[in-house]
Amino acid sequence: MAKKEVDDRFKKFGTVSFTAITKTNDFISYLEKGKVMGTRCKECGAIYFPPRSDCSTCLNSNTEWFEVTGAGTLLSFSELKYGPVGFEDDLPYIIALLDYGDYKVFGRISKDMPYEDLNVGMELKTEFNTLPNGQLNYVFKRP
Amino acid sequence: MGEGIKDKVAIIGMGCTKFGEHWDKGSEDLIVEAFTEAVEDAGIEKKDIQAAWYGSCYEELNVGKSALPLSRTLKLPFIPVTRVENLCASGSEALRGAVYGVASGAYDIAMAMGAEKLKDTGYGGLSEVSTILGTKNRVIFPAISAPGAFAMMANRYFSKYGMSTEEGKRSLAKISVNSHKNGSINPKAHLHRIITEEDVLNAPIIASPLGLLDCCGVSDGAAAAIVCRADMANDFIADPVFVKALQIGISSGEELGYTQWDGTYVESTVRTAARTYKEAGIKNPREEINMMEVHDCFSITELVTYEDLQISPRGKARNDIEDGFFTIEGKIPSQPDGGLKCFGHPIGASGLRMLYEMYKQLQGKAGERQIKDPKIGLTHNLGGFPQMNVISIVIVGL
Repeated sequence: MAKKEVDDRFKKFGTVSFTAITKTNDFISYLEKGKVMGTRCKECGAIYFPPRSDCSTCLNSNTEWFEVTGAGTLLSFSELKYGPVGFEDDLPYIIALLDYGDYKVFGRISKDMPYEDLNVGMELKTEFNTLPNGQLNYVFKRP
Repeated sequence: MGEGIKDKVAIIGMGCTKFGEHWDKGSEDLIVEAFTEAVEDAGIEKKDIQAAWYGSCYEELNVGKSALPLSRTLKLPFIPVTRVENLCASGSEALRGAVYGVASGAYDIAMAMGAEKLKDTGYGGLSEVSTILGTKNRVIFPAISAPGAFAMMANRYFSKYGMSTEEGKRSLAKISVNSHKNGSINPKAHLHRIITEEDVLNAPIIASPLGLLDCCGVSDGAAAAIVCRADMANDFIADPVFVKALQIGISSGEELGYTQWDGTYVESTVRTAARTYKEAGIKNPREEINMMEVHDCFSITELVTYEDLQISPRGKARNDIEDGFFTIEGKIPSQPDGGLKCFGHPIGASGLRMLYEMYKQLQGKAGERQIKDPKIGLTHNLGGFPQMNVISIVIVGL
């Protein structure tokens, strides 16, 4: 019997990946093409970022992908001087939450944006990024 | 909601170790210490305890899985013992087991014990959190830390209510100053230094805008409660304390990215508080609660909790803080024992440590920290992050 293939694409995500297998593994394949994607329920229209393969609103699995595009509003941010285990080499870095209206995106501010330039309410966009260790993520930048 | 547990169960004994760096003691030793004080306080013997609940968060840092650590350590006589874990509410969750066990009529006397030993890990904050949240949630927050999550709450709160970072940090500083003042005269607290607002403002930043003195400490400790049927309480002690309400509320996680939650309050605290007040028959918390120990893992957590518990109006906690509302002489003294800020946060023990202070205060046995004639006290725990968490609220009184 052939060995079963493990779809562990999520191992490539983030400085430290905590997730090997999910039903939304295509998120990583899209990310590799430079696209940050969420999901939309084709039945009730609920929008999910991070992506969900099952709709928690109407409980069906009929979802489709959409791309996170355009600008979101910076809801809040913080510069970490100490990080979780495994993130020491990234420090300091800025975590932030962008509001896209129908959904929110949590992530990190691009390294080339100084902390002093950040203000709650400003507009930023979400963009694919490759980390120094070769892992994939996305960061927030000026539109 | 059912009829609730108001006045069905009494606390007749409590024990609490000194919290701090116990390099010379193991978790088992701390459990024995808290237990000894609790049974002596209640005037009972080990054989009188009919069931026990044990709260700890990190079994891998402590004594092992299951309820065996408690039973084995205390050589409990083959009674039912259950281990519970619910993040920072683990101690209060253990209390819930014991209280519900007695309220159900299954047992006459039960015990809740919480213990945690963190300093041995060598890590500055709480230990690695990846598995705590489950792997799926780490997709959402790959690089978040607890200080970072609450720091974002602070920045958002400052922005919403028109405070500059300097103004906001100064309001938060007063919270830490108050806790340290109270903790300085508490022999069981870990940290005893009186600090000033300037100390807080000048402390190194951990996650902007929160500095070192906006964050609670890391400690080792254990605390225990003996509970019994309310109608039996006076057979044991002259001054029992009664459980008025005990509620747990768990976030669905929906508020983190999928709703209009704006990051300046904790939805689970709001909802759990409403249930707790209903169970206790409290209509106006600001007038009816006399004192409280709330979950001050960070100064901003304490500030928003004042509002989430309906003590301060939305966006107005800073006014109450500046008016001295929460000091030991104020209308509702908060953190009279020094809080997590001075006790540190041995997770499984913290909820019961808070209860210990409310119990002693209600009995008039809080020594130098004694609040004048309190009748109703509240404890609150928040485990997790502002956007996804575990809440416990306990109300006790005479």
